[in-house]
Amino acid sequence: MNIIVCVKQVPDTNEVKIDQKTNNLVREGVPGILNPYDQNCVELALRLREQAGGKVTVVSMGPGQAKEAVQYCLDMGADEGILLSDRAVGGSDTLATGYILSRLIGSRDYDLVMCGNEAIDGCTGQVGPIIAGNLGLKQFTYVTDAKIKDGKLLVQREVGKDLELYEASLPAVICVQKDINQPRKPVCSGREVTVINAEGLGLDADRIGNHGSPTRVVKIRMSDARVKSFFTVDDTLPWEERIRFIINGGIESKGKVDLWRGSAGELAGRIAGCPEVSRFLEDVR
Amino acid sequence: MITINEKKCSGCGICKSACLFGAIEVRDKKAVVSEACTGCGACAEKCPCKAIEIPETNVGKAEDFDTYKDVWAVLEMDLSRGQLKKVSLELLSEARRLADLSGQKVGAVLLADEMPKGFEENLSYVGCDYAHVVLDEQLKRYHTLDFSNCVVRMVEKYKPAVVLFPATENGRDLAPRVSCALQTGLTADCTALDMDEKGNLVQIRPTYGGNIMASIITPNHRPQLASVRPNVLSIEQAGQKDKPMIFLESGMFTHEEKDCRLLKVSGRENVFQDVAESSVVVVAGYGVGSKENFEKVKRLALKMNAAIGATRKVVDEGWAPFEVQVGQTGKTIAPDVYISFGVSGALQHTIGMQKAKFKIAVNNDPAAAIFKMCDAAILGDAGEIADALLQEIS
Repeated sequence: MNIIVCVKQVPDTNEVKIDQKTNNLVREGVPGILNPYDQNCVELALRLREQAGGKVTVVSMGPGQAKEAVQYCLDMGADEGILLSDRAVGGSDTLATGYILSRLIGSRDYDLVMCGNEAIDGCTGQVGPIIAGNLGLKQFTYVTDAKIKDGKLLVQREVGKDLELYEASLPAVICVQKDINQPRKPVCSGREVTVINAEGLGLDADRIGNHGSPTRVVKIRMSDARVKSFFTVDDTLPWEERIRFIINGGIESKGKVDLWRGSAGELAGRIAGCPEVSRFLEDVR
Repeated sequence: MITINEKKCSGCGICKSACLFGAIEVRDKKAVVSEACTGCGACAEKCPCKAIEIPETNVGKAEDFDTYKDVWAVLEMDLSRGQLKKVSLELLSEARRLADLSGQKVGAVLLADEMPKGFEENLSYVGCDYAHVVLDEQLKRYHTLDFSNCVVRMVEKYKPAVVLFPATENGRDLAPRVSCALQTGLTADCTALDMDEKGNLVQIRPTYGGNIMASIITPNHRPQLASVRPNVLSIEQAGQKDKPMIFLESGMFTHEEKDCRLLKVSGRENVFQDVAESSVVVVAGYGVGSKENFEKVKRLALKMNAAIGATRKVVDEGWAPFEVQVGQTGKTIAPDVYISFGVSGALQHTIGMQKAKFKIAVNNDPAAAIFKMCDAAILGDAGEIADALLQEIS
């Protein structure tokens, strides 16, 4: 069985910091990691290969640096790793990205295409279904488990409080949820990533890159509350208020908010005593 | 990516500081763009020499571009109740507002096995003008191909300018498939929507862990597709409106999902109370300090008959499962009462809870960002106060 896994290198968003002076995302030293969802996805692919035999090929699209993420998959145990790196595909939105990857996948043999359900940088979850749409395949998103039985795919989807179990013929696309398994640690495999450009994929120039992307980012701004608060004391205030302001960490200046202090017991009593809280506690007690 | 007109560029470096992605450098008194460029255009706005060119979409508008009108919402059923999910009405209410901004009508699309309870009253309440309804036994449960083909056919026939989808599991499965079939743009998980003067839907969403808000449009393609999560939009009663027209569509649906069988549906084990649906939510943040303290907060939530929620870091630590995560990655909540323990107030979390009506936060750092947005700020140790509150209640 030929399994193709699509992966993405993402900035470790927990680590993204803002430079207070320039207001930029600090990119230097921000580690690029294999998207966590993809780690679970590669693990599931390797288990399927162990169960049903065959080959796992990892494909990715991104700048040269993204080689690291594909290498990580090879070192986890994937058989082949391909990175499509080409300026012509830079700036692609999800529709264009899904199209490009579907052309890359379509140029090879496949029975099962796998993606992480979403990437932690964009969080759209769109590329997998768009690949499926371009290849004309059935798709399963929010997948928590998959097996091959008698040449068919048994796949479990988690939707709200329900678990749905499907049996489907191959080929198909599945998009895998996070934390569904324990991804194995990479060990040096000696296999190398193949870096290719867009030539030979027969891409329609009107469907790729910035130019071929229907969506356009027109404005970008930093989210408002991101700056860690450094408060300065208003020196026109009388000294008692200034002291109180400092003791309260600047909270009282916001007007609406009270900063409550006291022993844990007193504070718990005050929480339970809030009219908003006590109202529903009545029902509980 | 952008291009620099070297003849115009003075090498001043203003673009370098305007770039959020560090994609511009100045070399030999000229700006140089690296592959980190996302083409967002933040630099072009600031460039005093007008030396930066953003590639325009050369893919022109389709001939029938101007024939697309009205704002649609794709509705989702709550199967256990036989009625529309709340998010369906949230979308319609927002569609009403957008339609009023641009002089359009509001349409609903429903695929179901039977008419939902209170359908007409609900639609009328939020000011929906008309609904296209496809009823078929096979449409009781969601299937990707069946649903997407059906929605695509209706869009091709009636040509709406905007289609909103619920960003539920099934909505997020459906929308990209529709986007692919129609070859038009889709923006996931918008936190706000607007209309610009040209009739473009302005889709605002957080990205990079909530550090950046991006405004996105789909200037040359119709319809414009966007999804919005439950609890992000509010339901407003519309002014005096006529009853909605309901069109029962036929010939839109054919069962196409072949070689794919739903074998069984089971309830998940150890299900937590749904954090997105609960009217009281108790959230634990990384400041609780340990798995034990998290368990304590969880016991407290159980005792209070509230849903437990957790921040991303708590989930990453393995103290809580992903399903209770509240935030940009995770669920968006809008409970009547929100009580947090050891939550600092990182954007990734607050994006998902800012609509809570009454917010109480316990934290031992007086400068915690969460204190700036809550109604009661409680300075103290999360674990101790959780203990005391457990005693207080029992």
